[in-house]
Amino acid sequence: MGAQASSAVALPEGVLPAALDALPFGIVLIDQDEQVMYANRPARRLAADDLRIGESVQWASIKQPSIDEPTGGSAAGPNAPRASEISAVTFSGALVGMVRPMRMLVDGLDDAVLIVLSPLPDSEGRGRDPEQLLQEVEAVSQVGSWSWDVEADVVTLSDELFRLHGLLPQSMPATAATVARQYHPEDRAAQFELVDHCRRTGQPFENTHRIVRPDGTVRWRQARGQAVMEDGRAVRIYGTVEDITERVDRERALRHSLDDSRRLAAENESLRHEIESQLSEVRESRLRIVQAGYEARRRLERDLHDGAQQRLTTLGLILRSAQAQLPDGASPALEQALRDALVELQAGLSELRGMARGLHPAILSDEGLLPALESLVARSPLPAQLSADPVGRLPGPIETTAYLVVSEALTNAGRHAAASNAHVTVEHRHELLSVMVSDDGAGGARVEGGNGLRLLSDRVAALDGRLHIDSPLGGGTRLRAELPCA
Amino acid sequence: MRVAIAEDSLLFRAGLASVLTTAGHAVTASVGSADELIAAVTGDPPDAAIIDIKMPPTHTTEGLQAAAKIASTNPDVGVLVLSQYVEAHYAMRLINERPHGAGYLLKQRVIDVGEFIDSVERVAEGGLVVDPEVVGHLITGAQSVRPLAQLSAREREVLALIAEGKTNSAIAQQLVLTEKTVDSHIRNIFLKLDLPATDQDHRRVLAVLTYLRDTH
Repeated sequence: MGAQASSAVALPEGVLPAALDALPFGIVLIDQDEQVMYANRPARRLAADDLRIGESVQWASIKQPSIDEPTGGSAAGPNAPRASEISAVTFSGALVGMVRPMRMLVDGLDDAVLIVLSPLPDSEGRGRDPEQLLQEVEAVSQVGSWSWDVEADVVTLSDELFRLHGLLPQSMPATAATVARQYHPEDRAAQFELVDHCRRTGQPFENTHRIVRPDGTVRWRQARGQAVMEDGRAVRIYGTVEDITERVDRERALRHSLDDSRRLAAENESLRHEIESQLSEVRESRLRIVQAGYEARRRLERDLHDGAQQRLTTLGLILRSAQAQLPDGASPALEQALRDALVELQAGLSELRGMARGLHPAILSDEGLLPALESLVARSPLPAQLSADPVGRLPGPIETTAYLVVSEALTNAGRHAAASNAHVTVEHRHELLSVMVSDDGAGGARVEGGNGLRLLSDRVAALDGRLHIDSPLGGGTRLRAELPCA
Repeated sequence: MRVAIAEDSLLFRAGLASVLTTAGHAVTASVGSADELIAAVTGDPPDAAIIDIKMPPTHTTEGLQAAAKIASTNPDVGVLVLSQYVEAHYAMRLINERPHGAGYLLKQRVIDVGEFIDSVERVAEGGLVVDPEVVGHLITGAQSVRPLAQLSAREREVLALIAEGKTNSAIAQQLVLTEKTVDSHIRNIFLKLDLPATDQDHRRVLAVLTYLRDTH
């Protein structure tokens, strides 16, 4: 097999055969008859040692004009390809490979043409052994192929298929039984059935199954197969096997993460429900607390009026009666004491009345928000005006909260902001009660300011309302409570 | 003077009756509810009825409702409402329903017996009595608008007399005018105060309220 080509030609002076052998590409010298004069070692290797001195070169041209022009002299042989052609060079009928022939005249060798056999990087493999090409393709795509000679029960597996099975390529002879041994126990019966069905009917099959490698790892594979029938019998079944373990793993991971997401979403949903229900419980309890507070104030007011005030007024009548019954010439000190007592009593009654009214004005529960606000504005020490939409009776807590907003705002305006005037506006639109109090005072009111606005804000919020405060320093205060009253 | 009393506190009712009888007036009925008072007033009409604003069953404004009822059944009976509240709203409601012979007094005014008896007498005579503190609030509550400024001096004089509960003929007599002139003045007053043209009595009351708000 080994060709001894170097001695057949006198190489130019100074060129050592060893140096030519060390080149990364093949060099072939041909004479005008296109017979090989010289081939270096890479060239001989490319030709699989079929390159012999004196043998004719055969050109197989493939037009591929996009490849760069090689530089050099004119073509030597009559069949040599044009510069724009890519040639495959064959020796002894065997395809050596896709080459870029660098045809040039060699100094000192007038009759010779130098061919550089350098496999083109972009056409790698094209000139190779189809079997090798297939192997490379199989390796890259992780697809193996097989063929089963049914009569002989010989199974031919490609190298890649051996590798997919976790075996060294061609490391053992295979029969249907030895192949079947590697099927995953759970998939074995179905796989037998599938292949057998194909054998009996000639129908192609495609399925997904698992195998167990010798090291115990489980691989997922997608198999396709079809039969070659002769006289209604399958003589050969062949097919491909693709390793889809990574895809299955990815899908499984995806499914898991999807399941996780779903479970998480479900948990979130139930958590949200829980929080919502807790929140609504808290809201309801806050509302109950505020309502209970209002109710307590109202009851206290009533008790003061019906109890203490009534008794004290009656006491006044008794004292007055005592005064009337004083005999002529009674002690002036006693007369004075009775007078003093009555004066004190009147003052006490007035104070009590003011206190009761501050707790809860009866007019608010008896007559509603607007009469109560009119009364509030009328008695406000700070001059104030009221403009209001017609507002009928509203739920008690809303009326009380709205009233307290105005009451607190007017108190703050007069007491803290030194305002000289205030305006109260009541709007009732789209089932929303808006109560606004604006003043021309010093501004700077804040909920955090500790002047009762925090409590007010809480009261408003308890009714699902909102309290807005616009109070720039020196720019007056605009306080607005919005209370839904659907 | 014959007076009927409705007051649900027994002790206070007794005290009230005592004050009236001591002052030489007759108490025709002393009851604990508005319904009983209405029955008593219908059965034996007194000169005046005194009623607590808060009465059974709801303890809110039964007194005002009874006053309105009595105005329709016995328009000649004056009604004095005693209240725990300094609320102009209630006073106005009362006067709206009873343009004549009506009064709204804080309960504790009873202790100032002289003034109290005087108030009952004025109501019995068809006059209007509004608690001074309530009037005070009416005045402070009307700072932004002063409609009375639009009235002439003569019209204001007439309005003041209306507020005292005087009839048109009494006003004519006092101002030495014909009744026709007084009528004309009153029409101008209604016009200038922008009072709706409903019934005469109602407009009269509104004019009086404006006067109460806007004077002093």
